[in-house]
Amino acid sequence: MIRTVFRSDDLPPGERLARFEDFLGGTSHPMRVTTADPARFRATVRVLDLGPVSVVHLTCSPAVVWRTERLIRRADPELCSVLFPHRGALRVAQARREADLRGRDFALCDSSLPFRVLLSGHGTPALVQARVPRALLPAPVRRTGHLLGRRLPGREGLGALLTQFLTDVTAAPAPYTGSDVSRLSSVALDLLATVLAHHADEGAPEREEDGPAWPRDGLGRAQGGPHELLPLIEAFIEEHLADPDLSPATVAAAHHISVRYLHRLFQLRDTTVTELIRGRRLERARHDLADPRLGDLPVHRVAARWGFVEHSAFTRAFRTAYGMPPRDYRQRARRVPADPPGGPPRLPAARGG
Amino acid sequence: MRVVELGAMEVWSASFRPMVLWPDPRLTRQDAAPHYHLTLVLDGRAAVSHGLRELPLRAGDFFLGDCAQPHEIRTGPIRAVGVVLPKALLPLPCDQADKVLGRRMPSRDGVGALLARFLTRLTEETSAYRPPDAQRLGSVLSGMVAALLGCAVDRERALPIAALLGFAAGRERALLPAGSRTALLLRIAQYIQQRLADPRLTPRAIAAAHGVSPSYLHRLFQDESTTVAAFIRRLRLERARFDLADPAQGSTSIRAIAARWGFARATDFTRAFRAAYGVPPADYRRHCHAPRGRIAT
Repeated sequence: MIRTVFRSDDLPPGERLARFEDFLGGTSHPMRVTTADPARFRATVRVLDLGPVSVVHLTCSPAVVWRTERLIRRADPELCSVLFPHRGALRVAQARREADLRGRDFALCDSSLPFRVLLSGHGTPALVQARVPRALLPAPVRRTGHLLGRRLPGREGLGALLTQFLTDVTAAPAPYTGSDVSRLSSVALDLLATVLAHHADEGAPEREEDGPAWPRDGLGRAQGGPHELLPLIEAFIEEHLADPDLSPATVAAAHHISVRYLHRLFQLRDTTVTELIRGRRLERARHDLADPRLGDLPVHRVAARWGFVEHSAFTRAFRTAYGMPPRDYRQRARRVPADPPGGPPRLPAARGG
Repeated sequence: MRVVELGAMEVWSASFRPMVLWPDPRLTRQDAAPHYHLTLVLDGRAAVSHGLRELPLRAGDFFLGDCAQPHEIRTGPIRAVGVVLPKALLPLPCDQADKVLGRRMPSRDGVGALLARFLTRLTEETSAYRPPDAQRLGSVLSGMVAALLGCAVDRERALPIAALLGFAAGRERALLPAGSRTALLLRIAQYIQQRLADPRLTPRAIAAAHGVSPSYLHRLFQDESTTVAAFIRRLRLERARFDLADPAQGSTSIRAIAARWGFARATDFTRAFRAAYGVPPADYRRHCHAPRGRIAT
């Protein structure tokens, strides 16, 4: 039941990288790739669909695979995924953090936020990634912002059960029949949910009132403090811009802190939560207004897409920020090309590759 | 002998000198909740005798027994792992598991191999699982046991299985010819998975959202030997089952869990749950929430 969906060995060496890039760009989860040695690039992608969980096995020359805001806007299936190295090492960067993964340690990844994955190691590195629609996760674990970009333990305990299961199901040759796979449909998702629930139980930041206790990672090291929490909150805001209910109160509640403490945290950034939310929403809306593919979408719908409930408030804020009403901006943007194509990813650069 | 307790289930592993085993008398009493035991021989040989019949077991064989039925297992020197679980926790319709009672099932490949590795790994773990984790692992394990038994039943009936359906999210659509029947089916499956919680997710609404007629939609799924409604129901029940076993959601009412996965009426949920898994949701939850979850060595 495991299908090989891309194999560079079938292609002339000169075309391999370009065809792989086409392949990654054309999926429901578009990504890009760069490599230091395009001439000798090789990649094989195999996919096993276990009910709503799809397990991807990627074997690939050392390279960086990444997803930008632009690609996310192009297509986002709203997936949550777990990934770990099968051979070699991985560095996963997301939500302004980086996780270095070796052995079976794994990281969590969110398809709705930019990320970079660096595959390295001697020979041909390989990774396993299990993806599931976020909407299918149990409600208490759907918010995974605080786990992104962290190394989670996969060599023992619950993590090992998950990484072993995923390694086993993607092993080649896989002697599974359609009936086996259909019967396993909920098992993969239940196991993933079990592991996420474990980290949600132990990883949720303590309330401010409980003193300066910060979450610990899988190795029991203390993490957190304003400099750890702020990036999480910013990632959370970025992820929920479209939600009209996004407010200082909901942000504070989602991170188990008081609104007062949230405001104090943002003093470190010389801004306020409200300003950040408004600024990021305006930025997204401005981008959509300049996008010729969205040319038929009325301005009020663009505003609503990014959480502006009242159209007049949007127009006013837009004019204040950019010096002209949204309608004028759109007309102007049509005359000049928008951002240069294929802008650089906005995460901190993963080194190496 | 090691025993790992996962909620109301027990996983054990042991090496024996030649000996005779029979079900725990606590589980054969008439007032005891009915239990199954699933045993996997890792090394050595054994024989199960049940009345006059005798079934030889070799390394790599799984065997399912009913704890309430008198039988004994005679072994040479062996190493084995096993699970003892309440029948109520097995997510299969009532009579399904009974069909493979007293059978051998292989652990060489497929679900059997996965379950064998999973059991071995569970009992090799040296640190204890925390009780909430143990309980959730219980749902994973009962799902795997059900998969093994279900596959054994399928094999006997040689059922054509709608392998394609339900395996759609994230499938790389670009690889399929655009507009083809398969691509449409996958798109619809993905659409359904994103909207399970919406009680208005009906075949009519799904057809409308994809620009096809309800009867065409029906035919699409019929080719996969299922119905749209059955596909949606199965996904919803699977998600609700996990939530019912999750101790972190212990204070959420069954009605709320049902509603969260799109069952607008609690009675419909109860009926569907019982038909799929053999017990009503309240009983299932009660069995799950046996407050255990430690390792005894």
